[in-house]
Amino acid sequence: MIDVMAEVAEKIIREQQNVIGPLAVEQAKRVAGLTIDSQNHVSLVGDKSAAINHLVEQYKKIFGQTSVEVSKNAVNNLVSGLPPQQVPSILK
Amino acid sequence: MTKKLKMASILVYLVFGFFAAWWVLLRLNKAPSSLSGDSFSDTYGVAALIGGLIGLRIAKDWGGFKSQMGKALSFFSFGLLAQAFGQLVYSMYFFFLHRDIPYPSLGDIGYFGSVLLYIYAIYTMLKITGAHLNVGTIGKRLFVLVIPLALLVTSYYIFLRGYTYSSPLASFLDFGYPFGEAIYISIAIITFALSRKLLGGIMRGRLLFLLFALLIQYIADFSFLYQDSRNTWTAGGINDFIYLVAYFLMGLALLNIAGAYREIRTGDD
Repeated sequence: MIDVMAEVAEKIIREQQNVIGPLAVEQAKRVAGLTIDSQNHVSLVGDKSAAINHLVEQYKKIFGQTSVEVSKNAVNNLVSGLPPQQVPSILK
Repeated sequence: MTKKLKMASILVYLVFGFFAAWWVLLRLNKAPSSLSGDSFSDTYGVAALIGGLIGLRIAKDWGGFKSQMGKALSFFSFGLLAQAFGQLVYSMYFFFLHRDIPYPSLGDIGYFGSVLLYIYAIYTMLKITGAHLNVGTIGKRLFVLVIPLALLVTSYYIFLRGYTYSSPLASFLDFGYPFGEAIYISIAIITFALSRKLLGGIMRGRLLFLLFALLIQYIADFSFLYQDSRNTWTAGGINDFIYLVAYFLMGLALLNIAGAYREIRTGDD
């Protein structure tokens, strides 16, 4: 079964990679509850919503609100299909 | 700060310090005859060369052509290298061929090339800063249209009113220089205006400083065209000094971004 939240995280990381290159994966690896393999496939454990919030916060340290907007823009389609209570707060 | 980054910073400051001191001596008429205004004009481009080479190394860290940051830094660096190339060609005419520089010449590949490279670099920077995500209102969309139009019209009135056609290539460059420069500074103004409330974090100050360096580059390019069109440009004059400052600031801006890269990696923000 497809884990939508992992897909959201993967898409955010890919978009950030497009902006800041290899730093994006390095930053993602610092997020608790998020693991990323050599093919950049993401898996989330524990509170997935919190992990995504933490991931975007990590990027926010680099470009501020710009990073949040870029992340939101990247996952707009994926997030719109989720029930509102499942959408990570930072992406609302 | 890593040792290499520190060495690069010292080199950038030393080169600027050397040429700035030379220029001051020229202004005070205290420079020895071997350090003429012509020699100054033909050599300070080494500051652009050094900045460009350092910038390419920094761009590699950010993912090179595979990321927008890497791409923007690469193209700013290519812009600096193109300026250095233009100056190298002009120096060849002066030192080795002992003749006046023709127009257009091979040097224009460097100088006009730098304008195109800066346009691409700042356009990439616009996307990085998220400015393109902030054009929701009619006012902002109008702003995006009006700024380049106003600068293009102003450039036309200052440099091209009453223009008389010379040759296809010369005419292309006569229009291309002022219009190209107006385009890159327009994109820089739009980037600043639309991203200043969004942009934050470690990179905010660094990217704004890069925009400032580009503004000084524009002032150098504009004042060159202005002085050239009024036949008031002199070798080793104020315009050459503004170019030197522009290369120095661009080099510093690239080094600042290298510093940010280290900060992000160590998590030391």
